[in-house]
Formats: sequence, structure tokens, C-alpha cells
Amino acid sequence: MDPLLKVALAGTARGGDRTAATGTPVDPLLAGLPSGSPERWLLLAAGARAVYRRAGRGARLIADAPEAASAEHLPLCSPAAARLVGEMLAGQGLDLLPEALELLRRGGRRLPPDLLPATLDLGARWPDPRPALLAVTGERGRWLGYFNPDWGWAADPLTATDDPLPADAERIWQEGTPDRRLALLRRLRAGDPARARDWLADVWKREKVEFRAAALGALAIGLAPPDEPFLEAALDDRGQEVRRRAADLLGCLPGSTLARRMRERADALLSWEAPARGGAGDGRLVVTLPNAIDRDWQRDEPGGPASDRAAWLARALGLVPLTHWEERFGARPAELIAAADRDEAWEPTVLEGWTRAAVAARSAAWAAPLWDWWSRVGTLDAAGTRYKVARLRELIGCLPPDRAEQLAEELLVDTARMADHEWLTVLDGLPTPWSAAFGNRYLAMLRERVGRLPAPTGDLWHRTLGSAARGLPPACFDAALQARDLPAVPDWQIHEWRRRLDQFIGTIRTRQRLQGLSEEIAQ
Amino acid sequence: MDLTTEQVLALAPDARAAAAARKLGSTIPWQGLGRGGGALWGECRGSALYQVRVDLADLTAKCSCPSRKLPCKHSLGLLLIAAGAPAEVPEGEPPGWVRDWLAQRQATAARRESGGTTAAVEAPAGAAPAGKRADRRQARVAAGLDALDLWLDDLLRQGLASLETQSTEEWRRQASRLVDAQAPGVAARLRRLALIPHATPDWPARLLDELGRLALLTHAFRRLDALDPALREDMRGAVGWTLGQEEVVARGETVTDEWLILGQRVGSGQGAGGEERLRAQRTWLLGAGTGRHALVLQFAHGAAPFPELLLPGTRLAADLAFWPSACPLRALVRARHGGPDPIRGPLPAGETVRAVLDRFAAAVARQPWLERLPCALDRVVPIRAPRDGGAEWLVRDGAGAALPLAGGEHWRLLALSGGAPVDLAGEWDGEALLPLGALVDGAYHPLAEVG
Repeated sequence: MDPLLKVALAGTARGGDRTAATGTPVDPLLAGLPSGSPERWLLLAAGARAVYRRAGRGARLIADAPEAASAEHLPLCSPAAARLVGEMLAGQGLDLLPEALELLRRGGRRLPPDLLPATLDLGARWPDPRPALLAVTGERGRWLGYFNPDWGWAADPLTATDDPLPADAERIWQEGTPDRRLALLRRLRAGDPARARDWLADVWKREKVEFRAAALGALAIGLAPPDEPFLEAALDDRGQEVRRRAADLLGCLPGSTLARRMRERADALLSWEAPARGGAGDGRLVVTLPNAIDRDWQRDEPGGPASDRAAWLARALGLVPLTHWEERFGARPAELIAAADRDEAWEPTVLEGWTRAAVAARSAAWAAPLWDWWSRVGTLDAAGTRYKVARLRELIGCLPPDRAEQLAEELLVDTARMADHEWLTVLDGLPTPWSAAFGNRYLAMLRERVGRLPAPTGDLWHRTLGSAARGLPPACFDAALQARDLPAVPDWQIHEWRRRLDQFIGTIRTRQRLQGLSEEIAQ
Repeated sequence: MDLTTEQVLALAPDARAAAAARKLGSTIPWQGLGRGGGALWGECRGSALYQVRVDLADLTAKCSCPSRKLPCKHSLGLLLIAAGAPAEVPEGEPPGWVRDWLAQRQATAARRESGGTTAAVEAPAGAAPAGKRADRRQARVAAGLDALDLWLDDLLRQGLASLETQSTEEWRRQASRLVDAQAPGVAARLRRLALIPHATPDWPARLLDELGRLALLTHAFRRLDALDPALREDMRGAVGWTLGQEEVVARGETVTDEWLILGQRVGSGQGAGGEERLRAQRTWLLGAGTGRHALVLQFAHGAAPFPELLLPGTRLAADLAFWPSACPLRALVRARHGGPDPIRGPLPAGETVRAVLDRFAAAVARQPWLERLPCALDRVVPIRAPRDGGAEWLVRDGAGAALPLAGGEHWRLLALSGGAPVDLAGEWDGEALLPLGALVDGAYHPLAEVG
């Protein structure tokens, strides 16, 4: 131990003498110190030595620096683009970031190194946008991935290539972590669906139930009739989640035997009494439920309680293409919906099933009359309203844009519905971007609303600004950015309007800059 | 004006103002935006219509809003628009309310030039010390340091091991006594020492070193008359004598140059008497022609702005007056000769690692209590090397000599370099290098707080 420190720790009272040396060139200086107490001598000696050491610290010698990043293949994006992405990464308009990244990727540009730490951090938190991020982080991003464990994904050959089968795919598939194996399966499935299915079938029996269920999720990519035997076998899997996913996938395969079995069951459930020939009157829809759900049916729809027969009805109808009923009953959608509406016992169940089928097939012919039916449905509680509005949001997206926008416009002038925050979310279901005509009408309504502020208590119209900021087409941007004078009264409603308007303007500005970016890249 | 949004945001007095300004820079409707005659102006619609103007010479801003933050969010928002979307701020003739303000500023500057008022750069030291008053202080300080020495001797007699079980409460009491004895510099030093015990495994060795340096200080103070005049100034400064602006100008050297503003840090500095809420800002500058380093140290209470606005990453033609010292570093801006421009091209006075260490050794030899020395390293590679389960950060020059970087992560620096050499501005404290900014491909990037 250092002799000075030893004395200092123990205390000069316990001995120690002033002959201890520092072993440095300051020793001769210490000899010249005036005589004084041993502790004073000790302090001054320690001080002189500390100054000497501070001044004399040498550099470390490092033989080799790590290899530098490879030369970039892509040109840098413009400073304006970098500024836009930088602000998004800082949290301003983060929801529009995927659009900006996609534009850069299409234009073959990369982000400046300055932005890479924030970009790679984002990928560390959310795996989904990684491929999009990697396309714009260049060689530098990959290189950084070797140093920071959180950014390791950037250096992972699996994320770094678009090749359906990267060089070490076999090894990853046999030895990799579940996440990497699933990533590989999705990759392969997108490029070579049959091979991916074969790989999965080879290991199927050895895998844990969680992996089997997750791997079936990957089969949704490129789902096609050749997948049916494999999925049919999975209906007998031990894991309920595996069975459920297999049934869902088979239900999405139009020609599958499961779909045919469901159609046969549905045929037994629904029958049609056509209106008298040439005469007035309406057709009648007859619902006949079985007394019990048999085992075969349960196999095709795992997970439902056998006692809830209404749920079985709705699910079966949801899996049958709606054109089947039109052909089988020789009736138009509106007629069938009207008939179902008259059946007091099973009305909601049948229409719920048909709505599912209409949304799955994005059928405009059914979506329009179903929209009318759902908007008439009276609901009792908040959960019921939420459920109903969610269906309406789905249905409006299936309609032709002009019809959808017409319905949205009716909604926007409906005072009662504009006081119900659930209803406002329907606007989010509109096809985007909105048409310029509807956008202009929206802005006119906005102007009028602002002019009439403060609004009646309970009015939530300003909450439509979020949907509008996302939906307005570029042709409406200039008009949207026009200044609006809000009454200068300290009122919480005005405050809320101002806050939403600020957000609205912010989003429109960001979208305007994105528009500029896409024009710049197109050149 | 040619500023980046980042540089503008660095002007914000706090993070909330920066966030609010970001919003204003892109959202709230502005009207009558314009620039010309060395100024920038616009009207911003907030709760009322505010008139915002910025003098581009020193980025001083004035806004008609009631905010007490300076610069306020409206002024920052205006600068952000000018930086981010220059096309929205067209060239034009300043309106009357801008012209009046500019004229008023010029008149004030002229008055100051002719020796009217002088802004204080430090906590006021009171009226100029008359001879008698100075003698009295000298005597009080000497008595205070005598008492400190007795206490230190006693500590060493008992041994540092006794601190294993004692709190450092007594240290703070000693520090307060030193403030009463008008030796606030020594008091601050003692407060820093009180943080050493138990902070690191090797605290006894560190503490002994620092106690030794403190003992050297009191020892040297008693022999003040025998010291070199320049070092005498350092000693008096270290004990706690302060110089007013006019004293600095009168007694120190003034250097005219094009100064590169390399970096800036704001800390919750403690005032001479240990007051809370005093913010201390350090700004590092490097002369493009002379290669001289300078440090501008400023204090502000609460959210008040720092008197001198210095923007990292820009260059500024100015006269700097240096505090008299054996190793002159601290300086104040005596006069500005133009607006800020971005830093371009290689850093002047670039050095190797070896040269920095040699310069540090020479500076410590002249001024043994020197804490830190700024430097501009020529072509160094940042390295993150695994060590003891964690990692350490270094920079390595072309000869293979390496210095450790001050605590924390340096991902932005690593990303900027890509493993290739960069010119790095930093501050060496004898143990680690604090990176201040890097020059990469001709562009200078100030490095923010280590995170």
C-alpha cells in the first residue's frame, strides 16, 4: 500500500513519520519544506504528489481501432427531409413516420448519421417498423448495430437482407430464438409459401404449443388452397389456440372443405319463404337452430361455449359468402336484411353474422343496407354503443367513397350524434384521402362552427379535427391552414377547440411537408 | 442568418420553452413575417396578437407577450421558422415597431460604449475596495484559512479511516465558516471534497490527493507576495476574490479574433455562498486566427437568461477580455463585430493526444490548481470497447494514443464518425475528456449533454 495513504488512514497520532517518500521526483522538493507538524508535512507531500501525477498522466496506447463502417450505397436525403424525420423522431407527428420512411425507401435515400441513434432506438422499442427503418439507416446503421446491444437487430443478417432465404437460414431455423425463427418463417412464406409450409410441417410435432400457434399466424401470409391439408390436420391439435387459428385461416380460404361444411350448416339454419308470386307482401326468413352443437361443428369452431347457440349462428353466418344467400334465396340484399329485421327473435344475431361476412368481403352491395340497419339500432349501454359504432366504422370503409362521404356529411350535421364521442370515431373509417369536394365541405362546416363558438354544451364537433387532419387531401391543405379567429374568452371549451385546432394545423403542416418530400423524391 | 433548428432550440431557457417553441415554429398562425436591416420580425397569434422581433447581430429578442422567460417561446418560434423554412420569412423593410426597437438598442449600446453602465458578470462584489477595507478582508481570510488548517491537521491526526463511521456534516459547517471568512472559493472546494468519501472504492486515495491540493492552496496563499504576479491572480481567484468587468478589461489581455463557439453546458452551479437555483453556464470558444482557447462562464438566477448569448456551432467575430491568470482561459465578450455564422472547415489549432497532454502538463506547472483545459483534437476515432462486463469509451489519434471519454454514452459521436477520424473539441480534466463537438465532413456538430 502507498505509504502516505497508510499513514493518512491510520492517523499521524498513531505514529508515522516524515521520512516516508512518495517515490516520485517531488521527494527532493519535500526535503525543502519548513519544519512543521507531521500532519502538515503529510498533506503538503500528498498535494505535491497529486499535482505531479495530474500533470504527468500519459495516454493509453491502443494498437488498432475497430474497422470503420463500409462506404454507403445510397445518397443522403435532403436537409428538409432530415429535418422532417428528425422532428417526427422527437415525437412530433410520430404516426406519420412510417409514411416518411416509405417515401425515403422508395426514393433510395438514407438518413444522415446524426439521426441514427434516435432511429435505432425506435427500432429497439418497436420491432414492427424495423425493416422500414433499416432501409434508410444505410451501412452506418448496420455498423452501429454491432456496438449497442439494443441496436443488434440492425446488424442481424435476417433484418438486413430482403433475400427470402438468407445464407444461414437453416441454422437460424434449427437453433435460433423463437422470435428469429418466426421472422425467418414470415420471410420465407412471403417468398416461397410452399417451402415455408414444408419447413414448418417438418418440425411441427417437436414444437411447443405457443410456437405452433404463432407459426400458424405466419401462414396467413400468402394463404392459398395448397395449405388446406396442413391446416385441416391442425384442427385436431392439442392446443386450443392452435385449433382456433387453424379454423380462422380455413374460414378465410373460400374453397376449403371447412367453408363448405359451414355453408351446409348455415343452409340448415336459414330458410326463405319468398313473397307470393306477383302479389304484395314480403318474404320471410326462418331461423331454425339445432338443439345441440355436434362435435364436428365444435371442431370447426373451437373455443365457443356449446350452450350459446346464438353465437354459433352468428359465427357460421359470418363465414358464408353473402352471394350464397342472394343466389340461394333469389333475393336482393336489402330484401333479406328487411326480412331479418322483422324476425324479432334472431334479428340481431343474423345481421351480426352478415355484417362480419360483408366486412370480410368488403361488399358494398351489403354494406349500404347494413349501415342503415345498424344506424337504426337502439342501444342500451356504453358497451353496446361502442360495439355498434365499431361495426359502422367497418361498414363505411366498404362503401364507395362518394356514398361513404355522403353518410359522413349527414353525421357531421347531426347534433345528437356530434355529442356522442363514440359516433365521432366513425369518420376514421372513411376511405382516405377524402375527396376534395368532401374536404371542402368539411372545411366550410368547420368555418361555420368556429364562427358560432361557443358551441352548445356537450357538443364534441371539434373532436372530428383529428380524423380530418389525417383524411383531408393535399388539394385542401391551403384552405385548411387558413387562420381562424377563436373568441378570446377564457373558456375551457374554447381552450379545447384551440388545442385541437393547433394539433390539426400541425398534422396538416407535417403532411404538407411529406407531400413536398414525395415530389422531391419523384424528381 | 444561417442557423439550424437544433441551435435555435439550444437557446431555450428550459425544456418546456423548447417544446412550446417547436409547436409555434410549425403550427400557430403567424402573420407579417419578414427580415431585413439586421432583424427578424413577425406577429404571432396566441391569447392575443404578439409582436416578436429579433436582432440578428446577437440574437437578442423582444416580444410583447407577458412571459418572463427569455427568450420567450414566441421569439424561439420565430427563429425556428427562419431556420427551418426560410422561404416563409421574406426580405423586406422593417415596420415601425421593429425600427424603433433597433434604434433604441443602438442608443443603449452607444451609451454603454462611452462608459456609462457596466453589467456585472458576477455576484456583485460591492463597492471598489478601499485600501483599508481590502486589508481587513485579507486578515479575515487569513484567519479563516488558519482555522481550516487546524481542522485539517486534526483530521489527519485522527486518520481518514475515522470517516468510515462519521458523516461529513462537520465539513459543511467548516465550509460555512469559510464563507463567513470571505473565502467562498475555498468553501466551494471543501463542499466538493465532502462528496468524495464512500463515492468510489478508491475514495481514500482520492480524498488524500484533494486534501493535499487544498493544503497546497492555503500554504501558497500565505506566500502570496513571493509568487509570480499572474499566479497571484489565480490564487486570489481560487480563494474567492472576484473581478468586476471593468477590472478584467483593465488588467487582463484583450484578444480580437473570429471565435468558434465549440460547446456549452449549463449546470446547477452553486453561488459563492452556496445559493440554490443559480445556474452556471460554461461556453468554450476557440480563436480561428490565434488558436487560443477561451471559457465564458456566466451565471443566472432561476429562469433568467444569461447576459451574453452564445450559440454553439457558430462563429463570432469579437474582442474577448481574459481574466489575468498564469494560464488565461476565462474570458468575457467585450465587443462583438458581427452576427453569428455557422462553423465550417477544419478546426484550427488541432492537436495530437500527446500534444494535449504536454500542454496540460505545462499549464499545470504554471497553475497547479488548474482543473480543466479545452483542446481541439486532430483526426481522432471514437471507440467503444467492452470492459469488465460494461464498456468504456475512448478516442484514439493516428499515432494510437488514446484518452478515455468522460462518463456516459457517446452514441451520437460514434454515429457521426462511423469509425472514421473526426476533429473533436473537448475538455481534458486530467482524467477524462468531455467531448464538446465534432467536425465531420466540414460540418460542426455540437454534442449535447452526455446521456
